[in-house]
Amino acid sequence: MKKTNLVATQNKYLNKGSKYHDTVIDKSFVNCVIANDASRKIDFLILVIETLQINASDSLLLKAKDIGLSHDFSSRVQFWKMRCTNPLRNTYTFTSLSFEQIDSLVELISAMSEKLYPLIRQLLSSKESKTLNDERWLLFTSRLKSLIRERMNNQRNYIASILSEDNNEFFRELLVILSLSCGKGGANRLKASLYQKS
Amino acid sequence: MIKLSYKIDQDSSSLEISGIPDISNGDSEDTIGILSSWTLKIIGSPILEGEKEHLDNLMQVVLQYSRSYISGIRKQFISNKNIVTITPIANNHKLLLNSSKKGVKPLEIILDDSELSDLTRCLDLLRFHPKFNIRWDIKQERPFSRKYIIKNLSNSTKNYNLFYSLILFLFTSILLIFIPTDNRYELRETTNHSQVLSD
Repeated sequence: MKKTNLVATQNKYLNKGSKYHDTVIDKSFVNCVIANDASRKIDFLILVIETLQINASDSLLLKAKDIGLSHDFSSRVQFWKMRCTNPLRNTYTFTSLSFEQIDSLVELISAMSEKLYPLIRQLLSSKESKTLNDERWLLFTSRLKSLIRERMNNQRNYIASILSEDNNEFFRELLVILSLSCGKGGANRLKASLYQKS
Repeated sequence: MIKLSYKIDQDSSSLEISGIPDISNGDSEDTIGILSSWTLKIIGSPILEGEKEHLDNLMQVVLQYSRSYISGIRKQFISNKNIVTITPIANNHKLLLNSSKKGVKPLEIILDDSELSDLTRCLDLLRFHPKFNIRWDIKQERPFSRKYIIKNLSNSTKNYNLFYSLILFLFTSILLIFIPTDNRYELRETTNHSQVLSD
């Protein structure tokens, strides 16, 4: 007798995954330190999320509440303070993110990228109509660049080079990171990329 | 024994898994613990199917590749028995699958970024979904060492600022050495000659 079920098109059961994995994942981060570019990377990923969704700051806080994240996400100010650990920001606070904050932000980014996956996928797809894709990219890059101009220190060479770049390689990299961060496996991948072996 | 079959759909990729519960391992009636067959459909490519070992190999390379790609590293990955290879080409990714049957030519599939993420999500669901309790022969996502990242980072993203500044410093220093200086010039104390103007 054969029983057929359509299991999943979305990650609905990921918090209770296969028992073979749960114990191994935690051991993977022993003797690791936070990578130098972790806060910068996280802030830019959130900036991309804000570009893809209007009023994303509200959605981010709501999502954080939904997935039961800590008090760091209780108010906009607390959330903004975490983002100000990015040294490229205008309002850099000379602080760094804690392990717990990184874990929470990874979980949040992963959940948001899952929600925005159809949009991210559209931008990354080469099978879409070229004119339509170019229009989407133009809209996306102009919005992202305006957010970068507004919030980052434009006198930094790095920011100036991002803003002057025409091939959008950096923005594409950020979208690829988001697309590979969906779900539990994606969150583990993103978390691993934010740490370094000491 | 009920044979179970589950399907995971993710845009361009669709993975169908068939198997039975491993009762000796405590699996429930609706959980696949022993895999009997699998088929993977990627839009625009032939249907892939095989044994557990082949799926293991596919998962090994695709998940390792995605792990590297998220860190900005684009490099080739080859599975244990050279069954599956994934290589970056320009903005795309080439998946090369060698058949274990004799006389069958290797299959080449070109994936773009969206298709790679679809396939990765499919394989992630297979790994973590509670309906599957299969032991996979794959490496867990681990942080890379700084040395590994610097070594494997693509040339375009390498930061050459320090190197350029060093070259500029040496060039300026050498230039200054070769500029002739006037050694005959002597410093003399300036003396004030007061002249008395006499009418």
